[in-house]
Amino acid sequence: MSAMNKSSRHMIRLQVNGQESEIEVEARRLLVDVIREDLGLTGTHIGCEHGVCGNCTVILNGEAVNSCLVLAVQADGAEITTIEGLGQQGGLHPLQKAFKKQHALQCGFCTPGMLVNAYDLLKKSPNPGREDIKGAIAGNMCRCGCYDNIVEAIEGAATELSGKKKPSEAP
Amino acid sequence: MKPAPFNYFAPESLKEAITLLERNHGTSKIIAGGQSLLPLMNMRLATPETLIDLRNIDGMKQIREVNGFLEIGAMVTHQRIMTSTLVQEKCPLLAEAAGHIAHRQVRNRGTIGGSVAHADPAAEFPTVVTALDADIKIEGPGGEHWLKPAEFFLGFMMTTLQPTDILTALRVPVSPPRCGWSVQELARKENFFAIAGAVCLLQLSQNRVVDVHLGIMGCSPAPLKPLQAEETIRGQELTDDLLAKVADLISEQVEPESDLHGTKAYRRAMAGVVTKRALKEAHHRASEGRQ
Ligand SMILES: Cc1cc2nc3c(=O)[nH]c(=O)nc-3n(C[C@H](O)[C@H](O)[C@H](O)COP(=O)(O)OP(=O)(O)OC[C@H]3O[C@@H](n4cnc5c(N)ncnc54)[C@H](O)[C@@H]3O)c2cc1C
Ligand code: FES
Ligand code: FES
Repeated sequence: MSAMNKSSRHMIRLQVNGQESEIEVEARRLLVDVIREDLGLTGTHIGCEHGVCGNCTVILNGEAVNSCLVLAVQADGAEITTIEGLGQQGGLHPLQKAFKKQHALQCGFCTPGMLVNAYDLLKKSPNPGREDIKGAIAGNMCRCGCYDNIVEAIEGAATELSGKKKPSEAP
Repeated sequence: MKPAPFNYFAPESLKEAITLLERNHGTSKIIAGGQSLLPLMNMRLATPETLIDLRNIDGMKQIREVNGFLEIGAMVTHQRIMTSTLVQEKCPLLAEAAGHIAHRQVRNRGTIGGSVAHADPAAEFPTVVTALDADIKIEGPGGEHWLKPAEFFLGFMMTTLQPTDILTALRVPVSPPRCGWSVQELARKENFFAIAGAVCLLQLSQNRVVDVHLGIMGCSPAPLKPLQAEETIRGQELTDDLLAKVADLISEQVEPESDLHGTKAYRRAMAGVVTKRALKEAHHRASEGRQ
């Protein structure tokens, strides 16, 4: 019976938000649990554990992924960015500022996943259209239903980050 | 929930992976992107004793053109297929289908080999592979062989893959010039699994359809290539009468199940509707000469 089995154990190296760590993990542990429990980075949330809510989004080797659908051992040697890696010391990231300004959250449970995913989106496409933004956050659920404000906030941050004015603000 | 315990290996060669599969015959599972397997393991619907990860094996991550085919390694992700200019140019249907799979977090990990091996009849890649009659490369203890979709897909999430086999690559025919393509899906939410869906690649010559490939998803135990409908269209002009006839043929041929998202009768009717939409869009693109 597999339930009586023991998981193999593995030493893994992770570079999370620029910081190296070496951790011993059981093969069956999910990356999200190691991030939260072993590294104490509880900004990354868990909603569904099967890839549909996006709350656990982190950036793994330059790609936004659901960390509930990655085993920690699979991330051995990886560079990871979590929500804690977004704001610099003493200052919010422009995306975080935009979320605040646009009221893009109510309870805030979905916010870390939304921000990390949007951060990755803007790295790859600095000037996304509204439809691109909607498509990009299709895998992030907001149970408070702040979607309109979220899209607005991401659009605003993109405008600020890329130094371009919105068409309405153009001279 | 969390996965039940298992032993994990990440071999660096295909040979080593096959040896591990032989040694753990029937109790092991391959993990590729993990986007179908890990949800099942998290819910303990799957409890393999051994996981063999393909991530460290070289040679399964390339996309290249060989003799009129695109050869795509099993470990190429959905996102790469969607954004690859080579795929967009040489097999636009495949690139467009990739964009219909889930959302970016899933597409960034999920692989084409995993999707085809998983054989969900509502999934995009198995349907495109079936429509285009692509070749599927299998490697196992006895060496390598190639299979056609009809020899590979058996039924709902069932294939002829043996417990010691690894799907290593796919060969998809390069689309001819002046062809049109379309992916049409009816889903509750954009990029969810289709309740009914159709893919189409079509070639025109002077307003006649000289060649057409169709695939129907979500409406039969395995992805469906409706040969009779294709035959009915070949050599014809795509008139409204012909479209109606083809929709009827498809609705008769599919074998849908009822579930939460749609009844048998609804799926039957919608299979015809999405096929018509796919044919129309593909025809439109072909006549615009887009490629
Ligand atoms: C929220 C969500 C939404 C999704 N929506 C869609 C969708 O709309 N359309 C769609 O098509 N898919 C969808 N998927 C599934 C996704 O596309 C998966 O990536 C895909 O089905 C499996 O590929 P994988 O690489 O993740 O395989 P894995 O999950 O690693 O493996 C799946 C199965 O295939 C086997 N396997 C994997 N690779 C090989 C190989 N090379 N040789 C032999 N056997 C192998 C494994 O043993 C396992 O049984 C969704 C997934 C999630 C979580
Ligand atoms: S917890 Fe990972 S997607 Fe929901
Ligand atoms: S703000 Fe509450 S779930 Fe999004």
